[in-house]
Amino acid sequence: MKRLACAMMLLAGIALAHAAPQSASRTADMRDAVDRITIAAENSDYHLVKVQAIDTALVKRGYEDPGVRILFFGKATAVEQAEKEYPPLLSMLPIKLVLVVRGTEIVVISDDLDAWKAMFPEPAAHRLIELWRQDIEQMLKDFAVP
Amino acid sequence: MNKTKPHLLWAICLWIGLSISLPVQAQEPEQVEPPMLNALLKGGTIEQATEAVIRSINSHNYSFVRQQSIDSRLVPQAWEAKSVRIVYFCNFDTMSKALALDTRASEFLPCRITLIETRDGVELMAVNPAWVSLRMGNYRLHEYCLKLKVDYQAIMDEATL
Repeated sequence: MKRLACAMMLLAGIALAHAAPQSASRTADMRDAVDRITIAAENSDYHLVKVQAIDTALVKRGYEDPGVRILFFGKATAVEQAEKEYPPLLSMLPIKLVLVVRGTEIVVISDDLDAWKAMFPEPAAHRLIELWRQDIEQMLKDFAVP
Repeated sequence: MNKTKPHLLWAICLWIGLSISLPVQAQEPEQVEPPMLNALLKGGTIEQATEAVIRSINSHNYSFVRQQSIDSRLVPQAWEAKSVRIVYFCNFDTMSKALALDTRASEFLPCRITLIETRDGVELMAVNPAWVSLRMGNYRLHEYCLKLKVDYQAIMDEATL
């Protein structure tokens, strides 16, 4: 019994420690990275709905370049599913991916979907979030392919 | 020796478990933040609510960025959902400072409020940035997010007055 408790505690600890946003990187400039993640998203039936060019917007206003650009991706069926099965999740759509410059690489980072699960603990929400998590995983895999 | 062994094993497991999970647990101080911020405009339409939110954004020293339907650019414009809209806004100065502190600030940037028309009126929803920053464990970013949360609440409250 004690061994079981120990094992469960270890697993819980490891699960918590691993809760983090999904990410992928590749050597590219920002423009190339935007193109590649857009194609990767299209492969998973997601469409680029908005580019929030925070980097250029800030530089234009005299601020330092943060090397960050935000892209929003949507899928009509994802909206329909959220509307039908768990409307509060609409507040998390469209899905956001952040592109960050790290030297010669661009890192694409998703929102922390484990945090979303904590935010919306209901099973219906978890089911949808898990679907989206898998979609994002596929997009990031496609993005990172050399 | 046989009696102490299970205790020793238990202590080792406890230590390993805590050492793995502590960095994450340490990110959650005693403060409790609700994950979502909500407000309700009773009896109003989504157009009225959107206008009120934009007015409120401007009066709180933020810049209105854009508003769009939840399925904008996913379906033909004529088919876009009328009952769910998103309003984006930001303050360039604070956005620059937050990103300089921690690029993970992009998780709650740009600011956005989702408006959903219901039978009772229009519900305004936003992710609480302070709830997000608590999980990140960056104290200085959290301070910024507490201020941002207050601004969100003020904007939503004024819009639903």
